[in-house]
Amino acid sequence: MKKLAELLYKFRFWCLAIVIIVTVVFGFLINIQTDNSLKVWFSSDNPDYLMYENYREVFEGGRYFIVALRSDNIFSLDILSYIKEKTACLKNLPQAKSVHSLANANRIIGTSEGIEINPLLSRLEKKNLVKIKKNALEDELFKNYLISSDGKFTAIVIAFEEMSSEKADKAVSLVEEIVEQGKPENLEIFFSGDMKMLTEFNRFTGENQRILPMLVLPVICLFIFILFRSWYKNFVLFLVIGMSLFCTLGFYSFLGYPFNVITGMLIPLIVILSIADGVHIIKYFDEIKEKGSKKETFINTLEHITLPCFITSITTACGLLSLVISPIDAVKHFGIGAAVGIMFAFFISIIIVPYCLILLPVNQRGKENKYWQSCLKGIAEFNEKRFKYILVTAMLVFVFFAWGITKITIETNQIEWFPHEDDFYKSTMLVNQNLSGIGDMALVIEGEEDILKEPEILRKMDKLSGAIGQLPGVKKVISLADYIKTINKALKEDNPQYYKIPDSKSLIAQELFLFTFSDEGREELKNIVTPDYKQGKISIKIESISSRESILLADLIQKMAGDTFSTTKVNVFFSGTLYLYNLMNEYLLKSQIKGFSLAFLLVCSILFIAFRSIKYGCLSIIANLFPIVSIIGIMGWFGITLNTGTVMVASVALGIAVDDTIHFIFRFRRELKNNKISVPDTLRKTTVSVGSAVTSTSIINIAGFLILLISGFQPTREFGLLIALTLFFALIGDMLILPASIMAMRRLLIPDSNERIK
Amino acid sequence: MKRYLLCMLSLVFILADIKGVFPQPTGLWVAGKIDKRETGKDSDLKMKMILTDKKGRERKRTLFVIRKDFNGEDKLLLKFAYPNDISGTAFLVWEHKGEDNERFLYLPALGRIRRIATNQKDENFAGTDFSYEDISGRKLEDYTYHLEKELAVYEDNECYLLISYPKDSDSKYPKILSWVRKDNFITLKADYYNNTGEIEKTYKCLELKQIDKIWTVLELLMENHKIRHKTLIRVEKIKYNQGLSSKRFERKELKR
Repeated sequence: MKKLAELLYKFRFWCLAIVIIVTVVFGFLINIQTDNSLKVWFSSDNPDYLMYENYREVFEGGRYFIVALRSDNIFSLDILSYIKEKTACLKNLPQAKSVHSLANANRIIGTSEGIEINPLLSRLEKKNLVKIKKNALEDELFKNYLISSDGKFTAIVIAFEEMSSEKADKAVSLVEEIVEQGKPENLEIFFSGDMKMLTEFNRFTGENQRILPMLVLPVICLFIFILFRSWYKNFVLFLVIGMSLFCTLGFYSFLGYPFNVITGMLIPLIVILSIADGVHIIKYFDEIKEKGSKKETFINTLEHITLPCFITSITTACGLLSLVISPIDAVKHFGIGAAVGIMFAFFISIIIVPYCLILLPVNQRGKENKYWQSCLKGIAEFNEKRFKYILVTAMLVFVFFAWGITKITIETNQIEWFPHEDDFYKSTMLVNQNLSGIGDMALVIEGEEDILKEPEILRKMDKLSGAIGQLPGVKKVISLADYIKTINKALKEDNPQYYKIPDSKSLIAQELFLFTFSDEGREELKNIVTPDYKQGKISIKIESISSRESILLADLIQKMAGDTFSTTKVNVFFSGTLYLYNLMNEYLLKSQIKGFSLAFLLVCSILFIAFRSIKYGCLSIIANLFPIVSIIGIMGWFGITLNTGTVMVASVALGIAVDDTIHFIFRFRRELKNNKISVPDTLRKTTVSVGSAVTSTSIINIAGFLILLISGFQPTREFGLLIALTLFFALIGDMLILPASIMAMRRLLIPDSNERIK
Repeated sequence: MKRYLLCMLSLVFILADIKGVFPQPTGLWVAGKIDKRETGKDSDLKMKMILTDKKGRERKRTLFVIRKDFNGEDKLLLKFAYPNDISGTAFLVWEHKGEDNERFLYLPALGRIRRIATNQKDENFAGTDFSYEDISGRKLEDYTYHLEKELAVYEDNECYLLISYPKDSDSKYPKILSWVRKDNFITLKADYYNNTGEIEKTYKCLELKQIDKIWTVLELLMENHKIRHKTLIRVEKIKYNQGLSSKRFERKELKR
């Protein structure tokens, strides 16, 4: 290490120049693009995604934007005219695949003379308003979908193709602008649907990228100043943060990765974590500054600090890199981006920080905080005298939190990620309560050509739809069977007893043929059945989009469908945006359990290799199991679910938590080797010296992560809180449990010298 | 004297041309020519339709069509022969000037005749990309016209380039640009513009032949670019002026 430190000193200007050039080059490469669309979550070869793409291609549309309208007088001439005008206007949007509202909803009604397939609002005149209201409220196809059962809510549902975030933002703004123009006074408008959710995700991604780092920086600045009482050191650490961020974002852009709700946390993460190595370098530099020349201090600092900093950076990077095995692209990108960012921060820190420090005159290189020193001495004495109590207490706390792990629930409810006072959340709740809900799942039934004209299949479909409609949480079920029953009834003078699937395949075929005579009829059927009648879907609108509830529901429906169609020649499979999101959560959770195991193995291996000692390796694992188990236990006890946002915490936390342990053990072993003093004295010296840097970095990082609590977005808040808590527990582990464990195992750790073990 | 007369006649024609005795063609004039084009008193034909969706999946239909002119108001009877499950399904249209057309449908499996009420003239016909208007013909008075070019060449044919604007403001296609052959007033191509100014549908005449001295389109294609769907119609047999009885256009004929 000494040779490396000497080389770094000799070529310090070259190193500096290289770091600056690299930063500038990566700075030019920065191109932040936001994309929360489905393709950033799934690899293009993912079978479920491909199946969804096929489903989307067949049944049109993918994302729904729901414009919910509330008024005590929906069926007034001005509001219905407004709906008619806006529907026509929205249909002309090039991005809109279909628009559905009361204005283009068709009534299939039987008359004494024939059948009418007419738009509900075809004769929109004052004298017809009562009739229109009656017709709308009585029609089973509209109820709780386009109109609430009390007639006070109605919806304009626009289906969009899956599109990039930028295009989605524009499309949503355009729809909102169109809808707001000429709005009747007595009408309230609410925007919801998964298309709107996509744009809200974009908003929070932007917040994570721009606003949060701006809030984190002053807090970090304040804490660095409190700890070092030097503006110059503040400047040096901010230089490291800035350069690390430039390099990371440039590299991330170079790889062509976009930002989304997950990867948006990359910027605050790098801002916070990039100072750790710098703080350790400054602390060590300050400690030895008066013992030698600038050159000696430079070399001595790097000789002793480079290896632990490198190992801590590698372990953190390994924790983050374990995310690479995730099948979700967003998580992979976050893992790669953050791991590379940590390594950039390491290289920048060891080149920039010592160089900047030697520019300072010796007497201005910082003052020791006496109060802080005495606190650390107190902790060291407490550890020495009360190590048994510490270990017993830690054991009890560990068991308590381990018990909490059994209580953890795996669930992602993306609606709950939004603040409850947020307009989108409130609108979605209203849509869920009064209309069909925003959760959309589809059961696809497929077979040979014209299979969906078979009475037997349609009757089974009808029976299954009815049974699904009875399940808790299901708001609306629509299938081809509903249309056939409605047409059949209309053709029999609207006699309710003919609201059933006819017995003859020819009649069904002819009824469908009749229905598709009109554009409106074809428009409606294209979302429910393919023109060759090979594939049809049962559209299921559900109230909640909680992953746990909807996966249970999907499993149940799939079982029911399997039983219903077991004797037929049709295949049944599930699809829909919500279903895909839920599958994504399932993948994520499964992969993260693997990811964490991989990170644990990697980190442990690095520890064993770095310490070249099984004993010290085991010791560091014990100290680090405590924060990891604690954090998962806290999630269990406090009802924080393991979801898309929180699932990465364990892997990331492991990488970060182990850093201080490495610094502590490295220093302890060096002190033990260099100074022939007893184990308690060595521990005291280590606690005071390395403890200062460890607590400094932990406090700064905790403060930085706690700032994420300001975010209105739940995954960001939970990520910040859980990482801050992890760091807190890791600090307890390193400052109390690790020294206490060394005290308890001192005979085992240092068997060769009884004299040194008191 | 003879030479004098010839000179005088030449002068008259030259002057007549200058003063507009032979007027320049206008959009309305071209549209009127299309409207009055000879189509026979009646016609009896068999056609095949091929409907192709964006995934290339085809659906075929065969139908028999008879048409008769009742003092400027056409009556049209279509009977489907294929696919088998809709065989016998029949559709009758009674055109009325100045009011909505009447439409009746017979579904053999149901055994009863039904009246179908629809309001839109530019609504597609029976799941094809052709509108009812495309099938039964446009009413001259429903549009205003503008002759964009007096000479436009389309596939080596000299054409008028005609723009038709529907008077109905709710129309799906507020502008139709047509290439109309100068010699027989057959539309060879037409682009249908939607409300956003894009070409949504394109009509093409693929085969044209004189049958019983009447210019007849034997193969025609309508392609909807927005939904990537197209309909090809191939007329397999056609006879004109067979003296079809008026009774064949009565409602009860649907069941036969």
